[in-house]
Amino acid sequence: MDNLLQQLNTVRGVGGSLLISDEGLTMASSLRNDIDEESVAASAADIIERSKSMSEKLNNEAPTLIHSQGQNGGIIVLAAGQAFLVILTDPNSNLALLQLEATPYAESIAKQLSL
Amino acid sequence: MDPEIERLRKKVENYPSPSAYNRLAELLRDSKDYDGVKSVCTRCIREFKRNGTAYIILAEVYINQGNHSDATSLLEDAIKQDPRSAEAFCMLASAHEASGATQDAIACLHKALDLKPGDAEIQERISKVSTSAPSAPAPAGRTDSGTIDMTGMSLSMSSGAASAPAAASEPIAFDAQPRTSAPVNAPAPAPQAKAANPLSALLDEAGVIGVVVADDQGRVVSSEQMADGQETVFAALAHEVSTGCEEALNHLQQAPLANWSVTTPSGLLMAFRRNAELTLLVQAKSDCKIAMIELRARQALIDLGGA
Repeated sequence: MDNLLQQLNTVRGVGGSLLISDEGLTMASSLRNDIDEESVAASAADIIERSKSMSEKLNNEAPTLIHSQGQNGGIIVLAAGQAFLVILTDPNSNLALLQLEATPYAESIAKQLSL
Repeated sequence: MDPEIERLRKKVENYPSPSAYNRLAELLRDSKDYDGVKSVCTRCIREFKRNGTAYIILAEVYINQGNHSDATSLLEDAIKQDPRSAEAFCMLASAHEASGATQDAIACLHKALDLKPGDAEIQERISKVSTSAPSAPAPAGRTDSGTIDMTGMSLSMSSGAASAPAAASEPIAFDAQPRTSAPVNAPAPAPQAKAANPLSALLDEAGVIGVVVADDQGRVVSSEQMADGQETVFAALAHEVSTGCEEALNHLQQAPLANWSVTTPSGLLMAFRRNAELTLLVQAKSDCKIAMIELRARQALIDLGGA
């Protein structure tokens, strides 16, 4: 799984990635040394929980993709089966291309987790 | 070069936004790079025609350079774009005042006062200009230091350590609501209220189901086309999501939050922010064009204005 994340990190615009459970526990990670893995995992799980609560109330469905954009970068969370793939993005990343390229990784992870 | 100017230059190249242009123009103005201000404001006006702040910053420079005719015509354009901009009327008054047209300046200040009834600074400025009217020579309105007296205006020409007020970096408020304080003899504004709805272009965008404008505490400011009771739920829960996103971005030093989107198989929920004051929430179908919705939402946020 770590290899998969390292491969994902080579996609243009990706600044790091990790795989977390819906409780916010890290399952695999490939982040820069200066990024606190646990706090990213916990923050991402928090976003997932809040987004889930909102989308279930309004759309009656669980989210498949969450994107949060800040001034200096962003976070993309993709549902990957029972887990969530968290991708940190650079400020100048091509989001459409990045989502296209990241989706097969999420699908591959979902497949591996369901085995 | 100031690293902040450098950063903003890159930002307007890659992610042009009215607020980035405005801030860049202010910094260039403060560092007395007036050619830079002209170039940035001209480009901003071309790209964001309704961003009133760019007109005002550029007009400020024109006035200080003694180019009153260009300043006047620019401000008249700004007023055409937004006839409710008290700041544009105040600046136009400065342009008239600087060119010695004191009566025109007073008329503009009265229009500004109609838009901001009871504004003490504008009232003070009217009495000051009125007092100086009989002996108003060409340089009227200029202080001893040679700068324009901008009492009653939201922008300052100060430089160096005294930076412009925070509000100046944001576009002028383009309120959609009809003013209740219009002059007694003014024509009824009701017929144009619908046309001026800042959300109409967004609502017309393909795939948009409903829109909510929420304040910084997750309360509904206004909503359009949302199902009964859904707007309150959307605003409150979206506020929670925004808080979560903000915290995560803070951890990663990527704050402030600009927007977020939550995609489900049947649709999207999106939020767009202007400062932290107003959040525009959009519920859309899955086949919507996200980039177009973002563009419309950003325009609507400018039109809605800030505090």
